[in-house]
Amino acid sequence: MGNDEHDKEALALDALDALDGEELRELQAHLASCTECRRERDALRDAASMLAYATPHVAPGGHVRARLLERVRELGPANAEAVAPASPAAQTRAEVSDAAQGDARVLEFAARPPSHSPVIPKWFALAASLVIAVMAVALAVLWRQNNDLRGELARSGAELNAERSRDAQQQEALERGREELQWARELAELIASPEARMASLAGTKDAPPAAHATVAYDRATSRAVLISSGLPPAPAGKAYQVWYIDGGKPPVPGGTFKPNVDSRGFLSDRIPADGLAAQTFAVTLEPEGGVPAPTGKMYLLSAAS
Amino acid sequence: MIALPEQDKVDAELIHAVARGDERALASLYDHYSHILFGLLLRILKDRPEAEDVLQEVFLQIWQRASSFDAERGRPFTWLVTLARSRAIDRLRSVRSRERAALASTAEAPEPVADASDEAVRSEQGEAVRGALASIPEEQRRALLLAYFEGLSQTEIAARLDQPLGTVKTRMRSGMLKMRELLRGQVEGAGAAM
Repeated sequence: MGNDEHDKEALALDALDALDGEELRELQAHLASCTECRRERDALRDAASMLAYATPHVAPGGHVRARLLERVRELGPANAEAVAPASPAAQTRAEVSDAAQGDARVLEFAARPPSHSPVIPKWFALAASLVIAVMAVALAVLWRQNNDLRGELARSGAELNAERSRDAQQQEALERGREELQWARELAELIASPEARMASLAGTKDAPPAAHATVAYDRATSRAVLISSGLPPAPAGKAYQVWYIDGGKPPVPGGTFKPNVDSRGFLSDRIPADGLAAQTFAVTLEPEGGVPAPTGKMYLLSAAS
Repeated sequence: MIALPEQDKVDAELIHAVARGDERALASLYDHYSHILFGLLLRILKDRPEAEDVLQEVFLQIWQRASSFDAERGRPFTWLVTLARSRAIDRLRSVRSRERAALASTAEAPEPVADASDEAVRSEQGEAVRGALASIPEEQRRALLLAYFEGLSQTEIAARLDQPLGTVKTRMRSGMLKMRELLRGQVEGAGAAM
């Protein structure tokens, strides 16, 4: 293969991984022996990779980093055997041990509410600690139940099938507990910032009396975390959407969430630039995926702060 | 603001440190690149939990395969982005039917927009890339974006655009070469010698 126009075309297409069929096989065979073309293709790939900059940068949830580092510690220094992705069963085992480690950390947090943060009222730090402690205890109970169950199963192999569905339920509950613990972690992470602020949202006349939520937000990083409880399940095709409101201006749309089977909801959101001055927060029921302006009933509303 | 060749050097050192089992180096790479990689994964997968899951997989892969990074073969940024994109496209192919993805993409992928919170160096690159994309003809841009963000092959792109394969290939080649020309200043840190 020489360096003619046709080959340049193949190299450009390969840099985008768009080559297929016989042409791909031919090029691969050629690249194996041609350093010059390989360099050209790699340089084109450098340019193609710049397309990643065409997308807006988005912050992943804080739990991703935490879980990544935990997993890295479990794996230890890199080794070739560990490259294969974990099987679902191994994954579940890892998560059970994740949750166990999580307990200790969250309890530690609960025992030492952040005292250096002037904008978070003491009562809130206390309440947040309480929520986290309750979650941690609930998780510990679930974890123990799960372990007990596993012990039983080990003792009585004949009952395995009958117990399997119970085990699955326990796993689901454990999974929910683990998820809620992640919420608590994200909340804890956010309120650790000295700039963090809080707002409390109460149920409106359309919401059950127990419905309420808390929003923690940090204007410096545009991050917001909402934890709700007592909201009715979102009907099919619907979700709850949060709104950032600044005085008489139109509400700025935020993210959407669906409460879990325990009626607890969570949203980790990035506040749009025009919503950063918000003094008031509201939650309405909207079509799944969210809408640019509120259309549904309002369920939660904060007092202007 | 760190100049690009400098940034490449810093990144290459971080990747080598990760290969030696340095967790802090991995955390630094994560802190520096998770936002741009997550934006890319979201654009490809259009699903936040899925994208978060793949993001974690990508960094685990970095942890386990850092020793395979070869600075001679391209920029560290290219290596990271290529890992992320490949994983996302594998995931797209395995968990979603093409039809569903196509449906989501016709519902208009968000237009590339600036993010005010990005560091200066990233904004500058974002602007350069958006500027480059805006200056190539629409039909070339479309073909490039379908290949890059949807993982379509030349044959699939020809079918999607209802154009002869030869036409699509010519467009992609022209678009790609133009992009490289326009972004030369952005990628000359390493491996861009022709």
